[in-house]
Amino acid sequence: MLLDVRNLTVTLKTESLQVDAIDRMSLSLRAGSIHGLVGETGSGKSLFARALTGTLSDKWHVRADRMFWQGEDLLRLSDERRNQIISRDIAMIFQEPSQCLDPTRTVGEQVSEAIPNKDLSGGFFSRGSRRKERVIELLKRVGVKRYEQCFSSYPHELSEGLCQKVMIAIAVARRPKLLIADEPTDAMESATKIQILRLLQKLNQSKDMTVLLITHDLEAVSQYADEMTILYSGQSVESGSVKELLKNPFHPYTDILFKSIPKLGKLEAKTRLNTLPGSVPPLQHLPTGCRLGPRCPNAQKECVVTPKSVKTKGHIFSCHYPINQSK
Amino acid sequence: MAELLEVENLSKVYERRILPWKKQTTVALESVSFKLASHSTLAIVGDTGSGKSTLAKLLGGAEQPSTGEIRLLGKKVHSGDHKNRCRNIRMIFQDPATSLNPSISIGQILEEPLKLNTQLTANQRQDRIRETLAMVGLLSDYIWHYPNMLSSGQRQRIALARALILQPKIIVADKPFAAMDPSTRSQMVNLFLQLQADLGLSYVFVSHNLNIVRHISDQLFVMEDGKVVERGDTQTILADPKQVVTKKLLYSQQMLGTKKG
Repeated sequence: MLLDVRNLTVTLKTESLQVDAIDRMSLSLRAGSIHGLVGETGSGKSLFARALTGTLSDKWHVRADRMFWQGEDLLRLSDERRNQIISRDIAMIFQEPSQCLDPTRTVGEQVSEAIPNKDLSGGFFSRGSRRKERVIELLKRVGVKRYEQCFSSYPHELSEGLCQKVMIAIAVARRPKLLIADEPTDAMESATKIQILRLLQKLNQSKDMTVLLITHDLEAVSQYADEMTILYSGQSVESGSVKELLKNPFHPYTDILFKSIPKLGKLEAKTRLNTLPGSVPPLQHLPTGCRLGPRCPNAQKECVVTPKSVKTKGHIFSCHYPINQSK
Repeated sequence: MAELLEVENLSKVYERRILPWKKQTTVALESVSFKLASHSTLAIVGDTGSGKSTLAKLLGGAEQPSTGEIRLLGKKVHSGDHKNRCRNIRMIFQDPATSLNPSISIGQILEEPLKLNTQLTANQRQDRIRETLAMVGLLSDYIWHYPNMLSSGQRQRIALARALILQPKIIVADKPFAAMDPSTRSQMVNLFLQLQADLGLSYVFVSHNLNIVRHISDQLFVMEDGKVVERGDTQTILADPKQVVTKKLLYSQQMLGTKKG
């Protein structure tokens, strides 16, 4: 187990209110897998990534029963040690890559900045050229065809897809064990999107790099991920292998999510899609107990108590009235 | 009877003078003709820069065509005649957060097109706003809200209400679902389909999600480099694509793979 998070709670404390933006969420990552973290806007997907990398501001309080990274509990380490581990092992890429790169410097400079000195063999004076070789090698590896041109261009001269590839090159420069991709393909054209997802898949297979794919794009997750965790309003709903979840969802929310995709639902054209009424509750007005409660078709009296997560054959769900249960 | 919308030889060419005696022309859209009946949906798909947004903008009147004409129920729409056009063809954009004015309330946002285009009195305008809000599934209390107080799904509903408020016949939607969550997206798809059934609206959809396109559209245009390379009935094209572009698009969304198993 690469990462094992149990009952993570992230609380936002301000003078007027105190809310649990993430409420007792659990997630475990197997080494070498692609894990999809799926949820709607405001369900705490990105917050989880930031809590994991320790990049939240003082307003947020992170508690967890355990947050094991390869057997070490990240929350009980000193900040310094923790930052060391994270910068060594975890890398992250974001949505809107062209805005994440420095507009005033060339791509070559930005990628070479991420390469640690100890990767460069040879004497002090040959470092410059070796560094450039390494940058070109990285750009080649992420599938940039005209790497010489890309090396000397500025981010605004590149397309969105190329920028994301450069971001990935920067992220893999330190050979991380885990790559967190926070909505890497959001608002991209489908052809570019597929390139990026393919690249992540390739890196995952050839470099044995675990990928945590944070997205709301269920189609992409169902195609590329091995395992997935579904979040709703900061509570984990269901997790397990993608195939198993697609075939046999236990939680009503998972079921409706999958049915809302016309292709997966196998619906006739122009018929109504299955969907939940209402919208995601805002943080100030979270319902007690199971947060899906007011929108859930199967909700009953017990749903005001937060359901415990149940585990059967690697398939974890939290619901009082699961569906598709064979008795 | 004349078709609801007829488009003939519509094209758009951008010209740029690089030297005093030399012009550089970029063809954004090569001449295209089509007809659209009421109650039907035309979807336009294609890669970036294929001219699909240009076509949508020309229909919506945001750009002037270089050649060709648009006829509504047999009558020619002049490119300067925004009043007549906007009462029949309305547009919705990709990002509702930036297409609504953040400094005025929803009520005012919805009232503006009525003030500019109709002779309704203040009371009638308020009634119309309430009706339209109810149509898109929002409470009438929302007229006091400002766009920043709403979620993105609600904002897109407001954008739709603003389009519907002049009771148009055609709605041109430029990637309306691109940045939406799956459950909000299916709510919006349902709303679009229901409005079409109730009011007999026609839609022109620009999209890159073929799953949604397959679900809602009757006709499909596949575009590449300003040309319509494949056109026809949606289900037929998607079941048996002829052009490389279409196959590529289908492949990129894993819709060919499913057939082989």
